[in-house]
Amino acid sequence: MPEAPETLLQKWLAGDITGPEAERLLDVLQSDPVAAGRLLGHLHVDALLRDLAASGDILTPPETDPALPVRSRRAWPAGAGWMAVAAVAVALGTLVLIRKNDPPPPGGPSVTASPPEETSKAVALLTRSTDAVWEAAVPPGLVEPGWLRLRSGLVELEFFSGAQVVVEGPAEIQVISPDEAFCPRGKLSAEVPPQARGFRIGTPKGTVVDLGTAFGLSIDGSGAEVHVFKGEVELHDRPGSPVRGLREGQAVATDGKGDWNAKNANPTAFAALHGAGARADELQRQHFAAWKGAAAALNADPQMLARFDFLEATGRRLPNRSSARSVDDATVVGATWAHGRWPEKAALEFRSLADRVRVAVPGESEQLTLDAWVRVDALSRRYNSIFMSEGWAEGSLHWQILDTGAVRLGNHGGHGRRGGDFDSPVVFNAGRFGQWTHLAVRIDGKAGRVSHFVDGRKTAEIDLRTGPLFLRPGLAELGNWNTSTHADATPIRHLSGAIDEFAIHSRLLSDEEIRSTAEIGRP
Amino acid sequence: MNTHETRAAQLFLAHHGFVKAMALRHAPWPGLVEDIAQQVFLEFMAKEEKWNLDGDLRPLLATMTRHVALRHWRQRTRNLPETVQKLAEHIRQLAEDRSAPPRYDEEVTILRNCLAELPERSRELIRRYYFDEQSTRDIGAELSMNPDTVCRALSRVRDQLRACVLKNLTPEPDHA
Repeated sequence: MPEAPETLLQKWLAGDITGPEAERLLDVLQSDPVAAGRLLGHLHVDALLRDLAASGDILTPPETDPALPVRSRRAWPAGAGWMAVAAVAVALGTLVLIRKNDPPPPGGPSVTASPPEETSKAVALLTRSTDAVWEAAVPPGLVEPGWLRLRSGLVELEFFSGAQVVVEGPAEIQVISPDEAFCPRGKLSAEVPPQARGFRIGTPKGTVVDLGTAFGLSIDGSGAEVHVFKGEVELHDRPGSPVRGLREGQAVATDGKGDWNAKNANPTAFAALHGAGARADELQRQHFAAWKGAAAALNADPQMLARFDFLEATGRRLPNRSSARSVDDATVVGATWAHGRWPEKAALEFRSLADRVRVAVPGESEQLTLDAWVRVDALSRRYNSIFMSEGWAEGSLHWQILDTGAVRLGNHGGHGRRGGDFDSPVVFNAGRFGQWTHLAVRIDGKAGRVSHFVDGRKTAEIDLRTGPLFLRPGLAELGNWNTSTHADATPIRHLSGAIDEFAIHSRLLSDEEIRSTAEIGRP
Repeated sequence: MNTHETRAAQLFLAHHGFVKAMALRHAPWPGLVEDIAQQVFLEFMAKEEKWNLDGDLRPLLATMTRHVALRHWRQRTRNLPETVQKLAEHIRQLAEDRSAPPRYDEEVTILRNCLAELPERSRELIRRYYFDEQSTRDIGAELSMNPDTVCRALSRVRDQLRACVLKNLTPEPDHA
């Protein structure tokens, strides 16, 4: 008995139709335009279903409001499995990892490549800088092997061996390993605990090997000096020559011929380096005072909807300092008060599922600018919330950090307008963890354009051709996300880190205003 | 990764549904759409510095997708029996002649809600076939059904889903 058209159609879709069956199906399609249209419809639905199946959430329960799209937070549809991987690969510059598989029917093809786990080559930590002017900016945080060129100012490096080195510019220092550096020019002091015994600093005139001590090193075009303040060092001046030992209070300096001559150690010659900590503290106090002094002008902006400065621990209430006060004070749930960018200032730490700050931003806007000072300690979730509208309703904004380290502004769309995911390049990696970072996102709803800023610098301006955006933040949370009734495969999105300032404006801040806000708040 | 590359990738992502719809039009072979979209992405990114990202990318992506789709189509069909090749070519012609604009993104979104509204038994069938990748024979064995009955049931569910998607498609917005 000949098989029914439905069975033939199914066999075509499953890819196991035989020659005679194909002949029969062709007959049907050629003689019956309705059947032909139906087959095309099936092919279409089959492709969509494979797409959804590839996304792994084909069985998501129905929305409370079925009129709302379940997941349209991308300008592309759900189920873009390999594209998600591709996006990650693009962000990490690892496109070469994308492999094309033969499509396994049904269920569609899959891509098995995954981004490599991030590693760090860091060997030291830049812990402090005072009036530092670099040839090429070096942010606080992890330092990988390479050259640091300091024009002026003081910086403090903690090598992973435990050695602590303060460098005064102008200086060049090549960080080589956790227990080795090379300095052809500059002045530095080193404190080397017993655990870091053997820490060495090379110079063109010789290598200083520390035996658990404190010493100073100065080198310029005219010669080099090594001063031992505590303990003992070895000086290896050239291959084959005897090692010279230097004890506490001793020093050596090269003469015009390049020979080393003994002299007494002179701690005052390195006084600036020893006072680096006090100077850095004083500078921090000045920065804090400047930030506080700028607050009145910032808060007076009539289009500032809210500014939470986290100035001091205020229990469960977080006051909105904006003069316009279009937004009520926020409510702290769970999050813990801690030190902020400066010791005198507070911050809220987000660690657990419960930690969040609830804030209601009423109304719709055509333009918005959000900025925040954030300390990210880890990217422990796939999505790590900065500021997220509750659920995923029309007009919702989801400002979050992806586990790739990129920052995403997601907009749901609504009122006939499309939304989309506007992603920045990668911002957060191991080198930024634990450091305060200023983030801003400028949303031009009229133009459908979103710009991301990091530490006052624009890193991306994105137009996804969505057309105008519909912006209605509504009830939202800092540092977490309340899914409300929205069903989602990744409902846990709390931040692992801290926030110590957040502002939202109903206008587009200029590049200069954002740069200035970041600069004035720099710790 | 420079800014132009990042932007190119982002713009491609924004046009991903468009590319898939074009792929389905030129190479309506089950399961081939993702392959084609992936290849177009790789080729688009390989020459990203050449593209003007400020203009409408759709003509470019449409051309690229057509070329890639036809290439994949030829690879996929050239070793088939002649009668199956004829059928495949006929179906490809039907798909290309269809004038409906691609609405892939929107349709996927709507389809998810349509799935949620299906009776449990129909959802179960879809889950087994598309999600668990069971064959109609295996589904029939587990549910004590004739494989042909499974084929007909799957066919009916796809009809329902198609009708549901068409019913819920909104008019094309002005800015799309």
